[in-house]
Amino acid sequence: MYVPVSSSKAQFKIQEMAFVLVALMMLFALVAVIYINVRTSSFHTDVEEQREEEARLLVRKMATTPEFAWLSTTCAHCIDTDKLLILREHAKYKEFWDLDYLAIEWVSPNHQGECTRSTYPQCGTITIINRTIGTPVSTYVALCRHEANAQASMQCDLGKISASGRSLLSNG
Amino acid sequence: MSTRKAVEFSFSWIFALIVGASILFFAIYAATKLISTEKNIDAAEAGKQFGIILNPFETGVEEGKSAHIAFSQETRVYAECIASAPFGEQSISIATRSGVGKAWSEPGVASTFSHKYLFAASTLEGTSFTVFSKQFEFPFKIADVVYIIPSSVKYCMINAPYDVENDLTSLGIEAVEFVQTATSCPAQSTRVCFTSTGCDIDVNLGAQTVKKFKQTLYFASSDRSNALLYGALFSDPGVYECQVKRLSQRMSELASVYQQTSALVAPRGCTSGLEGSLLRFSNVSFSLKTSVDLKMLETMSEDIRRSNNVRTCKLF
Repeated sequence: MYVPVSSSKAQFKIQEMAFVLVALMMLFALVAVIYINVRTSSFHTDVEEQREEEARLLVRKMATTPEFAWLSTTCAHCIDTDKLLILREHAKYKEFWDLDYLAIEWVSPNHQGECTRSTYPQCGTITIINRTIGTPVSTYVALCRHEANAQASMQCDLGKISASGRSLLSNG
Repeated sequence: MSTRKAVEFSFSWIFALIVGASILFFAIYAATKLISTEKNIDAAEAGKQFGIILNPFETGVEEGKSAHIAFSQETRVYAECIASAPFGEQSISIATRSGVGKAWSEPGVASTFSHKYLFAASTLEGTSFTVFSKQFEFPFKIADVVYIIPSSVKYCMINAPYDVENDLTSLGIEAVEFVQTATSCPAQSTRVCFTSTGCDIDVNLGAQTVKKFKQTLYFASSDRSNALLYGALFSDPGVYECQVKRLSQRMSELASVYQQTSALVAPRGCTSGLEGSLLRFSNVSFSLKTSVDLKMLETMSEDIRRSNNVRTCKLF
């Protein structure tokens, strides 16, 4: 069968154009995938950074929240450890502050171990939230408790409150 | 000799035109989608940042705080209250003016906070907002509540009580003006009557009610900082009732914590005798449904406050 040379030449050109266009679309798709990957990873970083900033601001003000504050009108940075010991048993507070980690620990006197009703106050740490993801931020506070034998029926020690923001890796 | 003139439109030209048009269409579509996604991300970040900026408004030994928050462009803040168990949520989302299509872009992804309580209109619009906070005590500190007023909104308080005038003036709340007669109110301001009726908002201090938008909201007079009174004045009725419900949930849980703390410290010589009262208070506040139920709690709250104040070893 006779096929004119001009016709097969035209068909070849059309095929050439089609291949070029397919290659062009694949290039655009590759660029789009790389861009989306980079943007998504920077978005994850932005979210984590915002949550850490929130944790930093929150930890500074934590001592003034009603759940933590010691007789709120007397001392801005005093924490009531008697209340905290009860608070750690209230499951509703685990998701209240949108944090992965929240704990107070005694700096002086330097007791060790997690506090329970039997070991308190001869213990080192009261942990409210413990998902232990991320690096906690801390601030120093006074840890106070009712003590009948002490002057003014209260005893205050030096402590630290630590918190870390909710990570994208944690559940919820 | 005759000629038949015609334009030869070969298949390759048609193919090129179709493909070129498709590529242009998809490129413009992708660009539009990308711009919309980026705007959404910006709005979501702005909403989260707005919530974080409110953190320093937590009061410590001070009774209240105030500040101005300004945006670089006209902004809508959607502050939605959700009264779900256990503590409800405060949702904040932001939308900005759009230069293309609709006047306002879609709000970004909402940021939610369980420990924030915003008394404001459900939609706030403007470039600058007055923000102030007060402690809500009933009888112990329940939370710091935050009020947001767009700078474009003005309130005219007619014959307000001295403590309200002194409070808001010392906080520097420019959105509020105090006058003796309704005729002295600036035009376009929201009039608030304290000793008469017929204003946009009518306050009855004796009955502890605020009437606005044909609804009656109840506040507690034993709340010495007037936190709920300001909440009723500066927020929508639906928002007010929702925040009161959320505050009562936290009130109930805190009362339970104080009740168990009282039992814990009693063996150390710190007896309050408040365990029974606090347990009842916790149960009643848990069942609060609307602001009307605050009346039921007020007597109990005052009893607990009086009992605590006379003790050497105070619980709160």
